[in-house]
Amino acid sequence: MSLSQALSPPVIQCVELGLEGRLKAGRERVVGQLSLLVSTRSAYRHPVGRRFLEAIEKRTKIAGDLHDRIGTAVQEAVMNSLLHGNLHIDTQARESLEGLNELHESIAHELERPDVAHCMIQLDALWSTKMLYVIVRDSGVGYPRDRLPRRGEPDACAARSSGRGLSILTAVCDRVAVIEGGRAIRLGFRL
Amino acid sequence: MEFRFGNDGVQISGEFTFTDHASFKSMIDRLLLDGSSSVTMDLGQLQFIDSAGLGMLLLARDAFGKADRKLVLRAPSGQVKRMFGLTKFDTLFSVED
Repeated sequence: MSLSQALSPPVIQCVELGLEGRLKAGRERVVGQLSLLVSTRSAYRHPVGRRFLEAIEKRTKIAGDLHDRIGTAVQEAVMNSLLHGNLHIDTQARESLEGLNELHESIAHELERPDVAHCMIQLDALWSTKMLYVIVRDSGVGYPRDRLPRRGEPDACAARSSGRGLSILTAVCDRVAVIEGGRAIRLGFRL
Repeated sequence: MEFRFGNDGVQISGEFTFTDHASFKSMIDRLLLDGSSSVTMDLGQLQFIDSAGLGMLLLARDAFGKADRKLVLRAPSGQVKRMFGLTKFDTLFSVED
């Protein structure tokens, strides 16, 4: 069964085999919700962010430029959670063309380690008639919330090859919050 | 991400994201072997790019610059064009419609 099929309505929770019992359940009052819990290895090898967005679109209307904005934001959040949260990848490896091969080998090596490969990434979508929130959680040690730049703040990484993900997040979301000590990020969009 | 080499560069299609670093590196290595003064990346069929993809384009620009060659990005559209606008990439690259 493909991930798209596994996320088809009326499913509200999809948990990768082997990660049962590790889903963090929310108690928010919402019109709809959807949760996906996958391993680091799966999240690296499959476009889970895009499949998750497609699944949300089967449940609530995403109009105008929202599709691109949500897709962009979820991708950045998942990448951040994977590379920095679970895989502890040094961004300096992305600062040179020669470093890309080293980065590839380093990630492949980490994904061979069961303790890393099975670390979880959780995506939750909660929506009302007015707002959609997507929360991306990882298994890392977190980061301080002041790392999140303010909207409109000049991007210090504009001409660098890495480090612009958080600026993109603040630009494409209507609301962004770093929560749970930096182990999760909540992305908000007006519907 | 998929790519296809042409006479003046390469056409990139699909989704260009943080998992594509090895294939992107091998693509650039091949383009660097060619001696033309300008290399074009046709992005007309590219549907999605993330910040890591943008970063890799910057690395390619610098690599071609060191070899006294120019990298031209052609025909970004949809989400890719919006990402270029958001990150002011059009000021860092030569971008053609």
